[in-house]
Amino acid sequence: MEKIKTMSPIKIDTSYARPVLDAGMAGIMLINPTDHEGLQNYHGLAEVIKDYSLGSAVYSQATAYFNNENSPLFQVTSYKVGDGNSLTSVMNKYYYSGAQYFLVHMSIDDKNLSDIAAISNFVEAQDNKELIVDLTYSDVTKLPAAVSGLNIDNNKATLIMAKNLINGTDEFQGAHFLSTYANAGLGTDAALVNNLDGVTPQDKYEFGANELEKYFVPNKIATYAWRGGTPMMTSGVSQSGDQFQAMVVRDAITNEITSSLNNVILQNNGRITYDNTGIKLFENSIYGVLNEYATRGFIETQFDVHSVDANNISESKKASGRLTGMNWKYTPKFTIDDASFSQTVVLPEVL
Amino acid sequence: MTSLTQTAQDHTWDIADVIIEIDGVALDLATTGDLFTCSFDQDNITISVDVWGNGMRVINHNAEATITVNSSRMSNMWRKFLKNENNERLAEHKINILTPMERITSSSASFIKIPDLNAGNEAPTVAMQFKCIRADAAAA
Repeated sequence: MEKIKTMSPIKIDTSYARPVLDAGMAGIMLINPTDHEGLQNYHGLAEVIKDYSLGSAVYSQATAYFNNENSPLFQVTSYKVGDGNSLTSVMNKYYYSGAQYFLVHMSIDDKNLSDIAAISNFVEAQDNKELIVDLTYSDVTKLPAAVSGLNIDNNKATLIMAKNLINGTDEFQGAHFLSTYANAGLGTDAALVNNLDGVTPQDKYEFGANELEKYFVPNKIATYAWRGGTPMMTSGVSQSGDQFQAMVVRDAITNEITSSLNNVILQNNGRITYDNTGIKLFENSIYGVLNEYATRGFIETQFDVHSVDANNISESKKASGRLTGMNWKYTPKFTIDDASFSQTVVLPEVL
Repeated sequence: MTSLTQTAQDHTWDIADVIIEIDGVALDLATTGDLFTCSFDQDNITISVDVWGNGMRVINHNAEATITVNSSRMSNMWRKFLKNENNERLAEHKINILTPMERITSSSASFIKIPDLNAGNEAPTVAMQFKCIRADAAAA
């Protein structure tokens, strides 16, 4: 349709922009083994239903995630199963497309189970972002071998969780977990995530400490079970045994330092001189971010920023425009998720 | 008696070594006086002594501070500050100041108000005043 032409000396044209809100660190990406490659972005269930039918695994996981009304971004990355390069190539392409957590959901009997190792190693190599591996099983005795067979027990950023099928139905524990965890405050201990809607905890009476110790603990597999009257996750450590929350805090710090330093690069008239003034501008920003995280209790206060002195840098190095050699070091603040106490009851001698 | 200053090494204070940065923007044009002032609002320790002379040392963790950055109104910093609508009331600014001796940081600085502005035939200056929920001063 054409606009009406008026005689008015003032004419106004209107255009529309609909900015999509940044997902921050609450977006998740489902890695989907299928027969094609591609990335799909969803900001609500209404968009998912156009591509995935009701009852499909993708739709069910999207439902679980969007169950939390704060959930901002659900991405589906598809790769071709059986094609050796497909997985790496889509991971390469879409790794930084927005989501903070990767999610992969499989049965331990799935013939593509070994893909999990490739995904986990890929995530580990980036030193950024986390992977949640959500496994289902019908025979718990096969679980330890299935996980140890992946050979990913050094990976710091991979959290594995497993759940039995409930009357043959898959409950998608991982997506439910992320619907809470991805939206929770920074540094939340994964072992304290509790009361997940739509996930049936392990049987209150059949599943006890013995089963947990035998099938889950050796391979650092978390599950969802009754703990002291509350259904909650049983573990919050990644495959390497490190606290999962510390890895998430690592990424928050990395992101914040990156954006602060980007700001420094962009905001100063396009010119940062290669001398101590310029170098200290970077150092200052890094220190500022770490100090903030220390004050807020995410890292120990004894952090250390190591800077370089411009006078010790050769002219030819300066001419290259590359600043290297600065680094920082901090210790994460850890969290308590398991506590043992002892008590003494004094009973007077009975006469 | 020889004074300490005569025996000790001489020192140099160079104001050019001071770096002030707000939200990543460095102060590039300043004024004639202080580059900045920083003042903590509360004492770290309050001492209370009772009528018998027993004392209590009360530790105060309130690190509220007021930081004022004196900039030229023709500086990149002031122009960016106004232009980026950084004067939005809820904005939390990050201030990092490095002197040869101290490092002053705050990531919870709120811009109090648009300071007094004027125009005459003198260099235009602006005192950007921030209230910080927390500020921190450490050795550089």
